[in-house]
Amino acid sequence: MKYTIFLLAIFVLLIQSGCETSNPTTPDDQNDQGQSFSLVVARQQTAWGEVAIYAHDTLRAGYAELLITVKHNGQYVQVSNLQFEPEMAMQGGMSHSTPIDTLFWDAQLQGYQVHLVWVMATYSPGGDKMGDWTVHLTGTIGQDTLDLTLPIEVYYAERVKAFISALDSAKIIAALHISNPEVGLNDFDLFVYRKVMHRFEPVTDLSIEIEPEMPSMGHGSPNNQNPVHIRKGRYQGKVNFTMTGDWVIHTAFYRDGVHIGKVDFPVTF
Amino acid sequence: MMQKVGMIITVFSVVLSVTTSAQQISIVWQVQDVETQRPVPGAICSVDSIAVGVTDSHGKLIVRYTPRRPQLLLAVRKLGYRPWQSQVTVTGDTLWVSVSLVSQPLLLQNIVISSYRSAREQYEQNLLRLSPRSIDQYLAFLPQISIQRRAAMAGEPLVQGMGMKRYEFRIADVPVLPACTDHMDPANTYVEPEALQNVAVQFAQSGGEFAMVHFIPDSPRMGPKQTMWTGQLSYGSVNREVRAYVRSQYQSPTLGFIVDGTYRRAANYRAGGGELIDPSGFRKWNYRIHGIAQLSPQFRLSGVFIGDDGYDIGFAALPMDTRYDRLRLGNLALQYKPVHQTWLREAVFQVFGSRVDHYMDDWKRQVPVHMDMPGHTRVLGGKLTLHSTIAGIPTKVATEYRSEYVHAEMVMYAPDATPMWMPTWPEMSRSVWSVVGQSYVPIASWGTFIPHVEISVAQTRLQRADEIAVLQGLVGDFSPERFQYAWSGGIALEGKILEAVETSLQLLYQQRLLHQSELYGFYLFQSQDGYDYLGNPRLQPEQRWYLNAHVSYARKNGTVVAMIYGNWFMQYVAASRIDIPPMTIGSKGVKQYRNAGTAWNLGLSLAGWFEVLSGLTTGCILKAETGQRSDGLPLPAMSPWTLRTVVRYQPKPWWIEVQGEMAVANRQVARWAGETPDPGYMVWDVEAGWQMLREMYVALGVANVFDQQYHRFSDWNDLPAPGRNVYVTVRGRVQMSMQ
Repeated sequence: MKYTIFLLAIFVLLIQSGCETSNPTTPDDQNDQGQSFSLVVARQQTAWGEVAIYAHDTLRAGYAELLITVKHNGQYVQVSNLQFEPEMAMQGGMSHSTPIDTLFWDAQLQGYQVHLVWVMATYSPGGDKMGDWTVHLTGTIGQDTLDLTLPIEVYYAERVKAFISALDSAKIIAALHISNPEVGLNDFDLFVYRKVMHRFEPVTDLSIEIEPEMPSMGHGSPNNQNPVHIRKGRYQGKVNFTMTGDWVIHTAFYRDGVHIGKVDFPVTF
Repeated sequence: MMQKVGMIITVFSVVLSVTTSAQQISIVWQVQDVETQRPVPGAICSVDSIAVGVTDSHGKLIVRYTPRRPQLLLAVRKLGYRPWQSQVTVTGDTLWVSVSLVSQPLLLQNIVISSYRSAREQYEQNLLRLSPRSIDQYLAFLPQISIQRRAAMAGEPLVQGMGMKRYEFRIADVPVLPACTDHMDPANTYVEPEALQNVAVQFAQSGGEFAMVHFIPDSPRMGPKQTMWTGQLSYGSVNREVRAYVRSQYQSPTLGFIVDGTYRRAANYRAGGGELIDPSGFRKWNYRIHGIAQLSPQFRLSGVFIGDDGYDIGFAALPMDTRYDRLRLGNLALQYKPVHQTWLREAVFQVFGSRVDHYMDDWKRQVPVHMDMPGHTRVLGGKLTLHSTIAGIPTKVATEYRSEYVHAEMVMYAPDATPMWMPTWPEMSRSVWSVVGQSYVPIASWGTFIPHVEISVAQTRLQRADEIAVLQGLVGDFSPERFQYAWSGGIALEGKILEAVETSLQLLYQQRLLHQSELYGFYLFQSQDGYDYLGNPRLQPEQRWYLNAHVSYARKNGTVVAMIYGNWFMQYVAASRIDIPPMTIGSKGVKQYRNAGTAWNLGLSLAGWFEVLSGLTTGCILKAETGQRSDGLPLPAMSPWTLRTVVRYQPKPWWIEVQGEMAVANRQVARWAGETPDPGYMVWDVEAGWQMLREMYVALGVANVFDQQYHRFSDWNDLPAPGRNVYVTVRGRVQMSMQ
């Protein structure tokens, strides 16, 4: 008899847990690229609820996708006039923002997706602190006000490169994003921005040429497609990796046929 | 010996029981080789000049026949043997005919069975078999085969200049798929000469390829109870090779077994002039269990398992070596042979399988980037073969299904870098179904007309999405599934046109199933021309017309045989350069397999064998090949004029033998395939032996007596051949009869 009660209790628990996991507003749901927002990178309680920022993985310099959820009186809600302002306060006293590609409400995930490029990391490759990233969120939820500053840690990755344009001496930031590199043809995004004061503006009029190379073997690969501009400084192309290992994508930038700079992106998988 | 050579046949058994001749009788033929006492399959038996059937793999044929008169003219013919015929009187309801054929020293054969057996006969095969040195040595004497050496252990046979992509390997009727992308594991690697009965080179019934090289191990025999143990030990100085062979054989009236094994170990060898060829050593085990059982008068079961394990095999001609190379092979056959039916003479059902695991690496080499290249192949299948006599015409029909699996990959280890992986043969499965039919239609008393047709269909599927993606990244989109079919058909005529003149003519049209390297090979580096090779999934099947003719003139004390063959290839598959970056360090570029129009080649050979004096025999074979593509480029692997000769003097129990091999300089080379001109050479071997007892002998020889530095035209990257090699072989056999 006691086994029957025990089994019944487990059954009820399972049913209950099943009800909970059927909630469509969990951030563990996957985005349209099949990736899960499973890591909480920032969370703060408020008088009326909670704000949390999720990511697919540890945040690293370069392109990232975030999910911001706002729970108001137990419900995931939208925020009127939402402002999302990341800021890096550098050790030397200077500060700057970071470019945001897009921000939109995801009804399925009941949160805001933010796609952005972290132009630098909190720590250097050697582990020295270079500054502090924060995210300032503002907006209104009914009668309540959202005004929070959340600290964010971004780790080093060699996915963002900078160069000075040979034409106008502007500082150009380029970030490479390959979602899941594998052998064969890979789609990739290249984000290109110009630094203006402490902000970043999209650069939309470049011709870009890429040449992948495997330095340890001294060979490249054929059938690559140079990236072309899609929107707001985002360029899309294809790169062909003929084997796993350490690759370098040599990237050259041209404006009106004039070579303005080049950077190298290492890719290892 | 003279009597043996001079006579055409020996009849061992005669008429047994007695009945009237007006009734139907059974004629039971047992045909064997007079020298080896082994069965002769494929011999055409006739009664009163009408062919009644062909002997099976055990040399047997049983037919029902209604004699119209008491005297019957019985005859047996088999290319490579002297024809036999005899007049017998019917005195019972069963006529037992046991025929021992004497080999007619052809150096050439054409239709199905190769010249190997006959060539071996030229060297007094029973003694040469007692002191074997390598499979390559035997194969090199075949008129249509050259050996491409990449290492000391075993070379790749080239059949009429065609490499392994264009023909199929079988051992004991089991297809064996090499697992190395660099041809480091041709199937002759897995066969030791002590366990070999025959090598058949077929240009028809070749499994969807242009040819088939079939290594047939010697079979256990059934007979009076007997057990035999054989042991052999050899040593060669040029690479300090030790070779040990042991064999246990048992036979009873209904059961036969052979269990044998060979161990070989060799260090690096020295080429002529003293150059050390490093690395070229190896270690190797080969073992076999082979059994046969007569389950009932109609049913016979036979099975064979062969294992071969090679380790640390140096390939001096290549940038990599073999860490291990393993074969496992098995074949189980059930034979049904009805005694009283005339249309179905024999049915054989077999199930078979083989697997090869090969591991190539370069850890013995000083290279900036080390590599591992494992490869695996599997074959599993079944075959049904029916031998029948329909309307008096012996006919063979066979159908076979096999499932194949192939995969090879490479991992590179650069210093301070992430290991790099890529497929070299994407994981591929292939189902192949084939049907073949062949008849033997007698043409009066002159000869036999042999039509043949074969159809093979294959469904190929690439298995892994990541490997498909990497290949598509290079060659564009293609379907990972591919349906192929290949059919071949042809005719052959063979017979005697004069008393001492035998001739044959064979004409074939063939298509072949494409090789995985040609379809899906991924950056396969070929060190001879220095290019990376890419497959081409859109390749069209290669086809050819094949013509072969031979004529032989045989007298009591000698034979001369001339042969000519020609191939006309269509959609000829060759690699040509494409403009994409190479991958291998030091590679000159990338080539991709393409259909390169047409091509032709032509081969000639002239062979002779003479008994000059009693006990003094001499033989030779002269051969040459040439070929060209439609764009004027020469075909690769074409043999220049090459002469091999042997003189043997055998005043028993001693013998002494001198062998010579010489070739003219090879200037018509395919530079586009990485070939370079080869100088001519002349090499001499000498061997002496003493047969102490009937079952024991010792042989002492010196190969490459003058320590010549040379290589053959086909040797990969002009790999120098071994220099002077002093070798000794001791062999003994113990035989015990049991009651």
